[in-house]
Amino acid sequence: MNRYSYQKLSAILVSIAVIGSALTGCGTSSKVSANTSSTNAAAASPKELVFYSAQGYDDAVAKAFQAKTGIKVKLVDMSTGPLAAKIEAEKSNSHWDIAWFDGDATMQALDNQGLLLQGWTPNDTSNLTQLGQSLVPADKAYYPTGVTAAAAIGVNSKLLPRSEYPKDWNDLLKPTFKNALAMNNPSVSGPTFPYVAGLLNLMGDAQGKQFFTSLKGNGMKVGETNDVEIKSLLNGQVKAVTIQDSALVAAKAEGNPIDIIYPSSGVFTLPGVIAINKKAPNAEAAKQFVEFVLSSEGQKVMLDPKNGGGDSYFDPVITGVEGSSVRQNDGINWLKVDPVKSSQNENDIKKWFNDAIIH
Amino acid sequence: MNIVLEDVTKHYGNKLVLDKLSLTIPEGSCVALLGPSGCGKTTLLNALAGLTTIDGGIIRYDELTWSSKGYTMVPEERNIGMVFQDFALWPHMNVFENIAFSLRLKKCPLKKIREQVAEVLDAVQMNGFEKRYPNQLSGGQRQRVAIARALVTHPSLMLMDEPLSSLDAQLREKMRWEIMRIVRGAGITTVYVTHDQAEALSLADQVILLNQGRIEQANSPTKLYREPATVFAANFLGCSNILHGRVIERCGDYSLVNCQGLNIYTLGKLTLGQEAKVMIRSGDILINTQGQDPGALLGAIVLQRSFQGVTWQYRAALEKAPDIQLEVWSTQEIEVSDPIQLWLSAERCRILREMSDNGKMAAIC
Amino acid sequence: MQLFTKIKSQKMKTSFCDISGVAFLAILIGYPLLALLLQIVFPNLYSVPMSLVPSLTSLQGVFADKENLNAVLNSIFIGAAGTIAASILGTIIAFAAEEHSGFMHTLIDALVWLIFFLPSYIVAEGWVMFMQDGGILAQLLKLPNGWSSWFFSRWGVILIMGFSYFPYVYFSLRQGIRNVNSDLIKAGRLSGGSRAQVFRKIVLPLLTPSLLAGASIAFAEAFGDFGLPAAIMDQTQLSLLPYQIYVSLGQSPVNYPAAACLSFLVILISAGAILLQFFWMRKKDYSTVLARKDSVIFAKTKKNPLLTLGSFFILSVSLLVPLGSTIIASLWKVWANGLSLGNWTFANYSKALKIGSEGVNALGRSLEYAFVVAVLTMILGVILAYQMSFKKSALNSFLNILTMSVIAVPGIVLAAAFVFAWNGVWLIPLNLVLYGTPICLGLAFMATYLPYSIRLQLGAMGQLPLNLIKAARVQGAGEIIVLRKIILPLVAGTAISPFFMTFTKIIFELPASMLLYPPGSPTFSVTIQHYFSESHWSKGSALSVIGLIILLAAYSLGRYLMEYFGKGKGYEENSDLELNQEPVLLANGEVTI
Repeated sequence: MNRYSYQKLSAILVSIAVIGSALTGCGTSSKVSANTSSTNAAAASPKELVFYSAQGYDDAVAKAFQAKTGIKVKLVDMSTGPLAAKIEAEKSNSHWDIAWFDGDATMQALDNQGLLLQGWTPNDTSNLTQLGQSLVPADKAYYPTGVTAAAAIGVNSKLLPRSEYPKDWNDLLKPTFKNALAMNNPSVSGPTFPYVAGLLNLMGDAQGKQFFTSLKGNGMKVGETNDVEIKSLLNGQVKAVTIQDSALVAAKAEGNPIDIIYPSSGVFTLPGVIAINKKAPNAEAAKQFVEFVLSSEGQKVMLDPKNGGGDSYFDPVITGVEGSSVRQNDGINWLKVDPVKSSQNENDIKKWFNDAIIH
Repeated sequence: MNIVLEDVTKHYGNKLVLDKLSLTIPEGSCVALLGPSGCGKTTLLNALAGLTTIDGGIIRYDELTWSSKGYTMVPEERNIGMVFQDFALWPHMNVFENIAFSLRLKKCPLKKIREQVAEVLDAVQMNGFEKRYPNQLSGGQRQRVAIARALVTHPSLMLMDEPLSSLDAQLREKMRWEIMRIVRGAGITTVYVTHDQAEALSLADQVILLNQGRIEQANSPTKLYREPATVFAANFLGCSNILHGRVIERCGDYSLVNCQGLNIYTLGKLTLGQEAKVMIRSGDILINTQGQDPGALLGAIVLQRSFQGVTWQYRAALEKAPDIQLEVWSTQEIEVSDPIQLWLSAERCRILREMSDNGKMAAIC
Repeated sequence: MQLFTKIKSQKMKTSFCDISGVAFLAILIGYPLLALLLQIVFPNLYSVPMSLVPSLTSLQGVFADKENLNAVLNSIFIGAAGTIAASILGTIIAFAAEEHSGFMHTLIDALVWLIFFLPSYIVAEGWVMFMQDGGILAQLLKLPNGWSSWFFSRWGVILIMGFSYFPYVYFSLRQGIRNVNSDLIKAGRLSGGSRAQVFRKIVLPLLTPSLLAGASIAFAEAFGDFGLPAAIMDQTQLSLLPYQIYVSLGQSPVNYPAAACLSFLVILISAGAILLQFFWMRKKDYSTVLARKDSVIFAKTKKNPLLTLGSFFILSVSLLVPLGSTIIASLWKVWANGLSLGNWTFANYSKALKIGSEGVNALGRSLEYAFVVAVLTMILGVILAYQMSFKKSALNSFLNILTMSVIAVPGIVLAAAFVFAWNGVWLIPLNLVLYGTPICLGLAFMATYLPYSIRLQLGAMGQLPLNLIKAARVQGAGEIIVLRKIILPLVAGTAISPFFMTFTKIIFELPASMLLYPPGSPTFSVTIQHYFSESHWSKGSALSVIGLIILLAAYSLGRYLMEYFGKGKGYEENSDLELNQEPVLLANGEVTI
């Protein structure tokens, strides 16, 4: 009996191993055959595209593009921080064609290292709005695909009387918001950095830093993610939050009691930006993809919240394309945050914020 | 073909475990390695098996080197049988598979394997147990299987590592006879490690007494028992009567040793004034009887007694030197507190040396 | 004692085997770590063009920043406090399990294993959903806002660490309890000690080596944990070392040299903790190992209901809070409506399970990875553990350091190390750029879980009587045959548990999957994370629950197989050989012989 059970055990183990290797063998071989068959079928355009993205609607856009052109899109989706880390880690031998995420400063940092294809113009750039045009860098290394405000003021419309609504950034220093304001940490939350950098730019470096220090003195809380901030706003732990406007719009669209205020002195652009790898293995397909994203057809896919969740509530920068009706689309005083300058100062600003505000 | 060890040395870190040990194990003999724990006997056994390296010297099987500094022939090539203290039967194999293991490795045909297994099982009287698993056997049966497994390859050397110590007293006695029968019957050179002097003396042709990595004394069992050369050997072989004194007189073949005011005659010519340790076995002291040959008659009082079946054991304090207590065995029954006369025959009183001179036979005078 | 002698002039085969094991680990773990750590001194190693000019600026930068010192101290505090919490809980449960036999014993043991398998981010998310203002507990009990502010601080982090890392202590203690000589306890009782006194003065001191062995692993885990503190704690309170690493990865351009430098610091401190434990054990040799085999049973006669009750409370808290919260959330229609009537639906499941959907495809892929890697990890674990337990050589300490380093390095850093290692330009002519292929991710999985597998196997092999192997050697078996015919059948029972551990952990593994998955083929965990980051909370939760059900099924199967073969195995009553199904996580790889 004993020996039998051992034999059984080893038999099972062996068969597991065999099945396992067979499975993977089958898996890979079927994949291989799928690949070959697809190449055979699309012999005319044996193309594929490796697409790194942090956008919520990336898979929907990829599918739409694949359906339209027959070019196979291989998506790598992750949040902006790890995505940039991945691109940097593989910079000596890169695998990607397209990179797409929010934050032109981060993209500019990649451009500064010479990782992006420069000087190429998509055929439909004339469609870009004025705001859109302003966001295209001089070296044409990347293009804006939409814009959000790095920070707007979100208030709980049930808890805060309309008369006490803030109108500009400085109103946040009022006693109403003592211990009742929250923002994110720019070292952890990507969209928060352009807010801090933009405000330092708007108010001047010294006054800007003084502003954040005063907010801290007024009991401002610093968190990590938009999600947490919105929950604490809805729970009434704070009366106002300064976070990316698309997150506020998304929460409002779900029916939550939130009002969004765009301060009169201006909000800071946080564009979604798309770029092509300088050493892109599939540069032609990549160009087609960028043009698709900038077309109204591509924009329509992006703007559907079913595809992109909160990321779909951006402000379009293509003429004739309308943003979500939930968000305010007019009368916003956009201030461009210079990505070149802010990417130079990024580490210093983050360090200052870390030392002075967080600790 | 003898197994020869020359100047075998082994360290563990800074600790010297085998200290230039030399020994010859004649073919067909049964040698017992006897000693307290930590004396190096198990290390020596492992070195013989090839389970551990040696740092110096050489172990050879006739002219074939088994181990030397920086070289160790792997165990599987030495053709050795080994029996372990805990039997080390593989729990996932039945008796047949346990014994057949090495034959299968040698790719013997099944028929031959069956024959050979049957043969050794016969030798250990375990026929019919082939299908049993180790956990279904008693301690004695496991031991027999372990011996059978070691025998099945007709090894050139059989190593036994305290094979009886995990059996209870009765079974141990029985298996001692069995092992003698089996090993002698097979005529295989055997090295038997034990810390039990009774086992060593009853089983072996030659007993090697080890102490701190050196050979304290190597003799036949009878000689070792009767004529221990050193204090250590005497102690280890169960002699409890050792008297300290100084040689004060010479008288023909005998010497007179003064031990705390008592005069004790011993056999042997010693230098006058020399310090001496005198031993006498408990069973060699006569009570209330005086022998013919030279000796000393000492008055004593019985302090304690204990009945051992055949004999009584007494502890007696000497009248003239109450600090000295002797252990005496006798068939006579004597009450506690009774005065007695002890006869220490000079023939039986032996002079001991403090230390051995590393392995060379310790001679007296 | 050195059992297997190194043979120089003869039999190159054996030494070749030794080397190949070491070489494999060196390539699997050592090479990526080296590829990462070299950047500390060669910051431009991966720049275009590559430069080998050494520079110490990153080292200086790291050590000049006071914040880093602060972070080290904070991390040590959190790690130590979390370890203490885990040790207390683990001790309670280990003794409760020891008191019971039969069903209750199996139940406790099975629950501990389940908790051990729970993916850490599900634990973190579950606790947040449960404890936050307006969370599940607040909705149930109508608690006011701010009731749980104490929880969202370092104390909450320490609490959760206690609840999720206690299995390490439990496993190690169970082994220790089994090895305590029962005579020592009897002697204590007979000398007039009460049960409590004997426990405190005799049993606990005797168990310190096993307690420390488990605690040192718990510390390495807690010390390097980023996800848990990030999910629970407001960063305004204190910065932690893993957080500093995250910050350096968040810089643009990404500061890999600084990340490497800080990771090295994490390795050093974790290794320090383990070494400390090691020296402590050397100094005080209690030799519970040499204890009698018939040891044991503390007080089967008189059970302490409080102990049982307490341990079941701990077990249910650590299991039900994260699991329950995830399941409840997965059944909500609208996240914001919470626990209200009419907010319940199975739609999230049907969506997630739709054939051909993203979730199902990803699950299939993850199962494939999990299966293949688990099989390989199990086999290699046995082979390498064999080398480490039965052959002492200088290489062993090297292997120990390598395996412990992997446990200490944060997952995201290890993943980045794999990018550097397998995307190097020097691999292009060799056609060995594995980065971007499933093999690279598989290797990363293996590097992550092989050390655990080795450690589990080391525990099992430490239990094997050495004479069984000696006997085979003198009977003419070479090493390979010993491994195949003697060791493998005897440790087969324990070999299954690393298999299932690897299998279930891979399904939910995030950092390596995220950074290394081949383009277009996301894994299950990446897909879940994608849903969460798009605020499809309920859908993400539903997918998590599906994964957990698979995990549970895999675990039950494993448990069943172990029981089945355990029953059949005939040597159970043999007191000479006590093979335990429970593996130990030995912090040091050494086996006392």
